[in-house]
Parts: sequence; structure tokens; C-alpha cells
Amino acid sequence: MTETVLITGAGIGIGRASAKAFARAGYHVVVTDILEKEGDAVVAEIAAAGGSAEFMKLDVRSTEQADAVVAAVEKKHGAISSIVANAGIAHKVPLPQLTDEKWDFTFDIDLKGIFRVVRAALPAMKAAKKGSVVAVSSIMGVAYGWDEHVHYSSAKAGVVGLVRGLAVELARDGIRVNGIAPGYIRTAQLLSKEHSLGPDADKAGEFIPRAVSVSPKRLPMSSCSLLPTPRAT
Amino acid sequence: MRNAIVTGGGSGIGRAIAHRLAAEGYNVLVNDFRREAAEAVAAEIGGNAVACAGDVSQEADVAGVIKACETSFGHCTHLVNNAGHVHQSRFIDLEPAEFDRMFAVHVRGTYLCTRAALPAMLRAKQGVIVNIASQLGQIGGVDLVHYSAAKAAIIGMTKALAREVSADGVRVNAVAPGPINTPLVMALSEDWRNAKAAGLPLGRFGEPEEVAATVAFLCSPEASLFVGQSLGPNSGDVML
Repeated sequence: MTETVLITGAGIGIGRASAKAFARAGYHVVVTDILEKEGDAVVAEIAAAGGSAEFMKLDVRSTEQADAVVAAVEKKHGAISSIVANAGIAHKVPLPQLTDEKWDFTFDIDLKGIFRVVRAALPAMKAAKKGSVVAVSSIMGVAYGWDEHVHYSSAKAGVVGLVRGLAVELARDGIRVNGIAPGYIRTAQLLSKEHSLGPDADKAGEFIPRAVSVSPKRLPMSSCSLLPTPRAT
Repeated sequence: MRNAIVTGGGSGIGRAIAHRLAAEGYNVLVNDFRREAAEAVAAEIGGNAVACAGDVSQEADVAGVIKACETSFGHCTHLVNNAGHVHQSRFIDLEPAEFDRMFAVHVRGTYLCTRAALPAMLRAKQGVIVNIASQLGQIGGVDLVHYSAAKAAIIGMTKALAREVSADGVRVNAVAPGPINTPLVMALSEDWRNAKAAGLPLGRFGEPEEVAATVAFLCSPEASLFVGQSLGPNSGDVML
């Protein structure tokens, strides 16, 4: 039976590249996002390349939606074998303007959104005695401080705690939980002048040893390497 | 052309790395300070492996290893600095000779092999170096101050060299394994091993092949963004 991977925020950027990489690796990919047009386009790209994918709209801020999407996937395909919890936002907000609502909004997506999806998928994963979760943190949550992105950095640091706690809690059930903390990846997020480095993103090369910011397609295999090898039967 | 040198490849993790890289199509030079061990592993692998005995802490031996690789396959494209040994001692009883030997093999050995292999990699603007550290270099181990310090030095070396040469096409990373079922660990008491395994999130020690998989990943182009990292195949014992 084909292994199923569910990827959140898979319509663009790292999520999109991950979806394509998993499809190439033989998984059935459930592309989820709030961006329907982009999600459909990713599914079409995968299908055109001979892979297997479907789009399901999922706002990770909604427990109801997370439960429903996971239930629908399990009904069609059985237990989800892998989750890439990638959905996230990074808004630039100086502290004086950082309202409770803006803080909570980022946490609701970047941190709580991971928990909601994993919690929904856990019973079936446990019953199957196998599974893998990859949560996407950020270099800004583990190694650097990012000015005017305190809520984002805090949420991404929180991902590390979530990963460690779940890893210990689920290891004996055969479910591995890991995080990845990417550096400067050339995504719409990085190239946003309003919220990140903008068109000057390549100036990051002045302080990065490897000296380039890279396209997200270079990233996903590190996610794949954290997941079980698909077994065709 | 992928020509790997695996130091300390005669047993345990090094042997598994040599087998894994050979299975992936690399030419593999198996180094060990015990000639018979190196030759046995090269013979197990067969066609695309050669053995070269040598003590990595000795400059002349290291030169011999590099030369043997060039003669057999061409210049070393992938260097796995794995050679090492374990010695336990209370710090208060730790003799300078044991301390020096620990640093000679792990730190000087990694330095000498890297120094010898690096020029050809820089000329080719391409190369991969993987240093085998240990999670004890991250958290420390009782009766293992010299071992822990040497492994921590390897992690520091990995980070600094990665900063220095990555823009020139050479990726340098480390692997910091947890408890692995190797002859070194199996020599410890069963009670200790059982208690240690029970405390691991995964509930079991790793196998050398599971560390080799991490090394193979770091050696591959799939790891193109990994620079100066220490990956931890450790059953969840250390989470960074």
C-alpha cells in the first residue's frame, strides 16, 4: 500500500517543494493549504509528473477542519504515515505595534497548528505502530534573534519544545518526531519586502558561509530523510 | 567519481560506513590501524574497496593513506574521519599519556587527515568531509572527560572549518551518535546497557548501519544545505 503524507501549507514555498519531493519518492501526497488555487496547482504539477496527490483545504487554526481533513484522509487511505507540519506565517511587527491579537494569530498557526494536525492523526498512527512527524521550525527559533519578529521567533522556538516532548511521548509507539530549522530559503516569505529581507535577500550571502540563499527545491530531501522509506506492495 | 576514505573502517561504525558507501557506488579506501581488520573489511566489500593500514595520528601514515587512495582511485572526494577509541578513567586518575592519546587519535587524527585531503578538494571546488563525533561531546560522560573533550573538539573543528571552506565547495559536517551496538559498547556490562536502553525514548541502542545511513546522507548531494552541522542518530537521548 502506498504511504500517505499530509503536508500543511503545501501550496507555496517549502511546503510545495516538499510535496513534490514526497511525490517523487512514491508517497501519495495530501496537499493542504488555505490557498486553494496554489494547492490545486501543486496537485496538477505532481500529477503531470506522474505522481499521486490531492488537495484539501485546511486552515490549521481550526481544530474542526484539522479533525475533518485527517478523518477524510484516513477514510480514503488509512492511517497517515507521515506529516510535514509546515504551515506558518512570519509577519514583521515592531514590539510597540505587536498586539495580543497579532501575537496569538502567529502562535495559532506556527505552533498550535502543528499540535492540532498531529493530535488528529495520532490514534490511527498509534494503531499502525508507525509514523513520522516533521515539524518545520526556523533558524530564527533555534539559533538567532530576529528583530521585529519576536512572536515568530518565539513560536518557532516553541516548535522545538513541541518536537522534543512529542518525540519522547511517541517514540515507544513507533512514531518518530523531528524538526527541521531551515536557514535562508528563497521563498515568497524571504523575498517579501514588507515582512523579511525583500529583493535584497541575496545580501544575506554576505554573512552566510555557503554564500547563497537557495531555492526551496534544495530543501525537501532533508525532510524525506526523516521519514520512513515508502514501501510499495 | 566518488572516492571515499573511511578511517577506522575495520570495525563497528566505520565498517558499516565503508559498506554503505561502497553499496552506493563509492570507491572506498578502508583505513584502520589494524591491518588485518582493514583488509578483512575491504575483502568483504570486494571490487571497489582497498585497504590501507595506518595510524591517523601519524603524519607519515596519513600521507600513505592519501597516496593509496590517489593510486587506487584518484583523489579523495569524501573523507569520513571515524577513527577513534574509548578509554574510561575517573578524571582524578586520568594519566597525561591517556589524555594525549585520546586527543592524538581523535583531534590530531581528524586534523591530519583533513589537512591532507583538503587541497585536492579545494582544487576541484568540491568535496565532503564527515567527522564522527559523539553525543558525549555535547553532554559529557562520566569517566570520559578526555573522550568527551576530544569529541567536543571535533564538533568545534567541524563548525570552524565549515565556515572557512564551504564557499569553496567543500561541505564539512559531523555526526554525533548516541549509544550504538558496537564491539566497544557491547564490552560494557549488560546491566549498564539494559538500564541505558530503558532510559532512551526509543528504548533501544542504535545499530552501526543506522549511523552509516546518516553519514551517507551527509555525503550525498541531498545534504547540500548542511554545513557545519552535527546530526544526532541517538535514539532520542540528546535533542538539540
